[in-house]
Amino acid sequence: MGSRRRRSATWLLLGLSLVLLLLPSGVSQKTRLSALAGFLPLQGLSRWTLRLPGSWGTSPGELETLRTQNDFLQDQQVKVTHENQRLALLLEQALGMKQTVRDQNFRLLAADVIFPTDSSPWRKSITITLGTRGGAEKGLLVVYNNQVVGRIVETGPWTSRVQTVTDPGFRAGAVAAPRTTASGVAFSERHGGVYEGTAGQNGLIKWFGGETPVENGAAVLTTEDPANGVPRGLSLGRITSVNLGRGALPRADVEPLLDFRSLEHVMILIPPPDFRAAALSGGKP
Amino acid sequence: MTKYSTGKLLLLAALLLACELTVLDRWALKGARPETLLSLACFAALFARDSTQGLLASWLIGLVKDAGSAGPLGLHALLFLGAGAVVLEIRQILFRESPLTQLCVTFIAACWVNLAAALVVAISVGGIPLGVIVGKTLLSALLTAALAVPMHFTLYQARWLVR
Repeated sequence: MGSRRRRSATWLLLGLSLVLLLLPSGVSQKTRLSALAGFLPLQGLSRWTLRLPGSWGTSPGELETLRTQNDFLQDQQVKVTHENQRLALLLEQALGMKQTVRDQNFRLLAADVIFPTDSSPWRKSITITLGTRGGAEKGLLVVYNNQVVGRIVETGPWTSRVQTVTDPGFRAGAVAAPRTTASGVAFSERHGGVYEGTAGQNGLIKWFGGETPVENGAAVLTTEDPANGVPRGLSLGRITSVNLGRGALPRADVEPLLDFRSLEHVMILIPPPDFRAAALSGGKP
Repeated sequence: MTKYSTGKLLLLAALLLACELTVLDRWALKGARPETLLSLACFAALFARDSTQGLLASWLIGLVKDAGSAGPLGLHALLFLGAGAVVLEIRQILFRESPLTQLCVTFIAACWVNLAAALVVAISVGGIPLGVIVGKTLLSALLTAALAVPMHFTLYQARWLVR
């Protein structure tokens, strides 16, 4: 009797798992991103606990009232200073980004990071506090300063999930700019390769022309890909080792310059409408 | 103790998910971190009132893990269900209160879940280097098993947490 019940429970849950796996991604994405939005209060919880009084039950004499007011004003000042620092950081990011895409009319949307990592050890993603209601869309590039953080892969009403550049599913056209000539490099004359994540701490650039000189420490930059809304010249990382191997084309390990675990804010890069349209119609942007 | 409340265990799972995505990732060793939710699922399977509760709890904990991942929804639920089913099958011949049992069971379960998840990701989205798979699986399984002993001890002692 017991074993029959166990067997039926196993089959039922197995079936449910398979149904969930086969669900259209649009349905499952929205459900779980909405569930993750339930964790939004946790973001401000630690800051909120700092505001709690240190002791309870003291009689509110005049001195106590003044002390409380003083504490309150000090707290306000700290809050304003933090807000000022946050805005300064966002402005710095926006200006850094604008230098890279100054002539292309890209729009930037700021978003806070809720979770800087993924629960699966084999996927690399971050969750941000901007969903479809704030203008986030699937496929948009996410940057910090002029560094690529990743690409939006799931959107919910209030939150979105960003696949970071170290995720095995992330791919982008890239070029390695040697350290010695990084300032004056012309991308059109260089052999581009494909950058992809590995689920480890580094990424990988491969399929770039063998004659392209690549050295350790070389910057890896994006090549223009209007169809996917990627401008050229954004940083993907730095080369840490080159493996010439047995194949015809070398591969190189790429270390991202950003520590994704420390990210608090990011920017979503929104390409101008004509940027994508020109690429899709086959003309120059 | 052979009883726990599945609802309370799920609340604990949500809390552990938040820890996994914030604090524990900061303490990751070479990119590997302890899988707290898997430790909890092993606890759920080892100390379930009956097999149905054990299976349901393991499956739901896997689903909580899926909520925080970019992978397909239901993958961890399926893998945790598999691990839970095996633990429930063999727990009659195990001395489940023993830390050594908990350590071994969690280590094997972590190896299975990590390897199977890596395989699915490698097939569905792209190649993960073999070195990364082996290194991260073993390190993560070791960390998870090491964490399981104090976690199970705490849950066993502080019964109000899960009853």
